[in-house]
Amino acid sequence: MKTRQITELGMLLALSLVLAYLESLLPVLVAVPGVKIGLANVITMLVLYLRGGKTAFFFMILRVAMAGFLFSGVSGIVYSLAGGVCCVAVMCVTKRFSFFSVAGVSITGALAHNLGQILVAWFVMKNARILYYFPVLAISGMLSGMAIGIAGGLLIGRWKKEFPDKNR
Amino acid sequence: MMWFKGGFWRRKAGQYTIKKGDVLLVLCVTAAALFMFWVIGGQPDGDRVRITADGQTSDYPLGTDRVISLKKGDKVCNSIVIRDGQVCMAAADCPDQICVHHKAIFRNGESIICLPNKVIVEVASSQHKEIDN
Repeated sequence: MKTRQITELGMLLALSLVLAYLESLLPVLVAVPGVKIGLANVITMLVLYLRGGKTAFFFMILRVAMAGFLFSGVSGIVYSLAGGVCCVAVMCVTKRFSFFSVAGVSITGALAHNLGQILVAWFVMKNARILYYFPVLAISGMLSGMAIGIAGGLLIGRWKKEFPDKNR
Repeated sequence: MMWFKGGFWRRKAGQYTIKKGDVLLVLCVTAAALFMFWVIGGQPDGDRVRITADGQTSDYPLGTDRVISLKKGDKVCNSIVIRDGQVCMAAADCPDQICVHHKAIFRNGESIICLPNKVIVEVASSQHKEIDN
C-alpha cells in the first residue's frame, strides 16, 4: 500500500471517528432502536468511490469497531458490524449500475445497514416481533441515506479535484 | 468556484446527479414501508400482554391494571406498567432509554423492546394466530 494511501485512509478514519463522536452527542429522536443519521458514512462513501470496495470494507469494519469502543458501547458493536458489512457489500454491487447516483447507492447502503442490524437483533432476541420495526427503519434509512448520499457526492467530487491521485 | 455548479442539481450525466434508479428506489421503499404500516396498523386491539425476558415468557391480560418489575439479581432492570388498556415501559436501567420513551402500546402486534436488557413487551390477541418462530 502506497504511503499516500495509508496517510489518506488514516486521516479519513480519524475524521469518521470525529463524525461518530458528534453523532453520539445527538439525542435519540425516535423510539425505535437504530434510527440515526449515520454521519460517519459520508467518509465510508468517500473511501468507496476513491479506493474501491475492498478498502471500503475494511475501512468500515475498523471505523465501526473503533467508534463502538470509544462512543457507543461494546455490546452494540455486533449490531453495527453486521449492518456495516451488509452495507458495504450491497453498495459495492449497487455502485456498478449506472442508473444509481451516489445518493441512490447510499440509500441502498443505509437500507442494507438497517436490515443487517435488525436481522442480528432478531437472532439475539429470538423473537420475530422486532422485525415489525423495519418499516420505520426503512423510511428513516432512506431519508438519511439520501442526505448522506448527497453530502457524500459533493464531497467526492470536491475531493477528487483537490487531491488528485493517479493511483486511484 | 461555486460548488453548486459541479454538484448535485445539474441535469447532465454524471455520478452525482439524481438518476432514474434513485427515484424508483425512493418510490419503492416508500410504497413498501407504507404497505407494512397499513398491515400492522390495521390489526385489532389486543387483549393480552406477553413479556419475554431472559428466554422466559409470561402472559398478562391487558384489561387489568398492573405493574410488573423485572429484576436482574437484586436490582429492578425494567418496570412495565399496564394501565387503561395500554402498556408502557415506565423505567429501565439501559443506557439509551429508547424503551422508556416509546409510546404506550395497545394494538395487536405492537411491541416495546429493550435491546440491551433483552426484554420484549408485546401485545397479543387471544383470537389472532401468531407468526411464531
